[in-house]
Amino acid sequence: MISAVTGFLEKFGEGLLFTARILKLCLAGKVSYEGLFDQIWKVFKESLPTTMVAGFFVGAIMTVQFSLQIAPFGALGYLGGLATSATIREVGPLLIAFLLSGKIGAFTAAELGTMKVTEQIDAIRCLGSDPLTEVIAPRFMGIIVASLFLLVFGLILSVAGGLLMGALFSGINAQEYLRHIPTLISSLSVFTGLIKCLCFSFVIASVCTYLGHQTTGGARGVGQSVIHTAVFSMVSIVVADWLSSFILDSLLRSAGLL
Amino acid sequence: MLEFKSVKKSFETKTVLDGISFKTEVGEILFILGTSGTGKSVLLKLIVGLLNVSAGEIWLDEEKISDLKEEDLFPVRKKCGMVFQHPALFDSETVFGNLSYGIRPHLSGLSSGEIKKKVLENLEVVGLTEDLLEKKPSQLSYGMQKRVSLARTLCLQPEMLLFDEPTTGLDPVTTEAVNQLILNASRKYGSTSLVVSHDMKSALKVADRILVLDQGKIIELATPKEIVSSRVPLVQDFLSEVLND
Amino acid sequence: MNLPKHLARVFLSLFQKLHLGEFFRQLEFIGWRSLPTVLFCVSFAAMVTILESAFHMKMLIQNDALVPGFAALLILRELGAVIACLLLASRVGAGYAAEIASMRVTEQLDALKLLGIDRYWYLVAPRTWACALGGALLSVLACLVCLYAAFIISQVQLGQSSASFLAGMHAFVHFQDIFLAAIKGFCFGATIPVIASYYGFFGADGAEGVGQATTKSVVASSVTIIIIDFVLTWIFSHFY
Repeated sequence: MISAVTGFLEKFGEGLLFTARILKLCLAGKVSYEGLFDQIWKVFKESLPTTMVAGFFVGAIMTVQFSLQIAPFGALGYLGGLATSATIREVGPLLIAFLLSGKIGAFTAAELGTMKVTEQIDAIRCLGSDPLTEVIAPRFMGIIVASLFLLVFGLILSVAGGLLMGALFSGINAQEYLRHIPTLISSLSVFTGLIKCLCFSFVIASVCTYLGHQTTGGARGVGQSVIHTAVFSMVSIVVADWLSSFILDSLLRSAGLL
Repeated sequence: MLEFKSVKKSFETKTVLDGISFKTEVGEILFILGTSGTGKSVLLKLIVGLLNVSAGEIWLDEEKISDLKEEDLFPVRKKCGMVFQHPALFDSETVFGNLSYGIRPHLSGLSSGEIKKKVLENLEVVGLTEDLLEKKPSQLSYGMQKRVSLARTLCLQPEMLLFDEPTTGLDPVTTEAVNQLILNASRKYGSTSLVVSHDMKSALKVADRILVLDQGKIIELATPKEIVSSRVPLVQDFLSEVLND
Repeated sequence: MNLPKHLARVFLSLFQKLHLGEFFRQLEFIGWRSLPTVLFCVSFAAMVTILESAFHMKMLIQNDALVPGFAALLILRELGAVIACLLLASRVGAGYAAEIASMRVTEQLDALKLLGIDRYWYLVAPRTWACALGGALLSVLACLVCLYAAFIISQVQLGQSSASFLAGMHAFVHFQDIFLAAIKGFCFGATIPVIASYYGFFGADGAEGVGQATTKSVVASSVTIIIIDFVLTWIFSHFY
């Protein structure tokens, strides 16, 4: 049991060091730019349909749940604002993160893992280049940048889903739904949502690139990397969610903004 | 040229190479034989710095290379071109992209015309034609992929070629073709070749000298002519399989 | 083979005599071994829910006294089951897809066929029942732990008393909410092995194939859970 914990901590430490190295490369601009744009586009293209579908349904679900709770208070006019606010601040980034960790996180871990076990990573080193610069950093940054675009689209779709349910379920027309959105959403909320989105995509990018890069053991090893990536990403996202909520909340409270 | 001085390599609890010392001769084809899991591939990886020695030194042309850092290893990797067991071609690049990967402008200072020329030259050496250049690796057969992989390394114009189990898992016809490729590639640039293998038959045909590893130590180093009369038991085992064909 | 055929075969296999040994083995894996991870994540999610609910309550009605009640409701109706099962989709779903895809690639599935064993009866049915049951159990446990975590944080962060939390909960929460959460968990859980086995049985070869099967399984399960959640929420809303 103890050895399992120390083993985990060791790997975690290695993972952090790995992430630090990639960050250093990214900040020094030593990323293969061609690869970077390729990756951003690829991540975006692959995840967009799923994000839009999920966003739509989540918006719908939240509208139903919220309307059930606030209808007794006669506050249905705020339904649109409330649902959208919750989406921007919390549900949107979280949802995008869960989907990304599955689609892109697992996929990248599989891709990098396959490259590792078929010796392509070693081949890059022998041909005079640095795998981190050529292959890993572009994917890392690609995930983070693409996630921001995905957030915007996911948000739009969840408003659409909410609008639909508002009409079908709660009898609120589109105008009413949209009216209080500007009222309830402050720039602080938007800021919170963006920070969370960045945090989560950072977590996903680190986990999948590190675990993919560390893969050993052939086809089975690749499968293992994917599983570990999927699980660990999700757990990390949830913890990061709580941490960021907690920190932001405490900060804002002490700054008297809450 | 290349010299191993009492090189040891261990992983956690397992010692894979235990005091290996030998020197290569210029322009020779040296086969390194041994049963599976004896650290033959490890030996090659130590040369190009994909792994680090646990003890001992490796020297290349009067220069110690076993303690170089990653940033300083590229010249070594150019001199000692590694050909992996898997083709290890990059799926997202075309054949041309793969072949020119090691000699891209920012790495070699060559013009695109010169790069194309090199690519075509080496494509010819491995017996492939120009029409493959725009294809992707997934569109090639395994045998073709292996040839492209070799051509990719040849583009670096290495003085030494390192082959990691080139014929493992191949049928006899393809094995023969690969042996011929090894000969061609060596002769083309006058390179020294180290071939890691467990195929004694190919070794007897192609090698100038054969080195046999067992339990991390060298148990025999001789020419094919000398080795057939070796008294070492394991070597005799290897030979008996071949001679009984 | 296409999806409808797969679904039909799964459905039929569910009503054959169950392979109990396999069923209990899977139940142990899903229920027992996933428990720590699920409860861990769900606690954090619960705390965030409280914080966010408090924020919005303050915004709307300048009063966060009702937060415990509302948050408890949200947790029971949505969060507990959804988060627990999304985690299962990752851990269990990915595991199944990888396992089954590996079996296909290493010809073990062919071996089963030659022994006259129906792979749906042997592989899919026990797991589907186990995952459905496990999903239900985990959802209920998740809800309970969530509530407890919410309880703690409403005291620590919002400064409310334990009495007011319990009172708030009592006013809003009914036994049927837990029951409905269990039903959600049951449905979500059932979809995971069905999808995982689909991608495991039918896919590309080699290391790439295993990776692909695993990835697609996680994504498809997650989206399906969300869609089923929507349907169930709509249906259940008539019972609240």
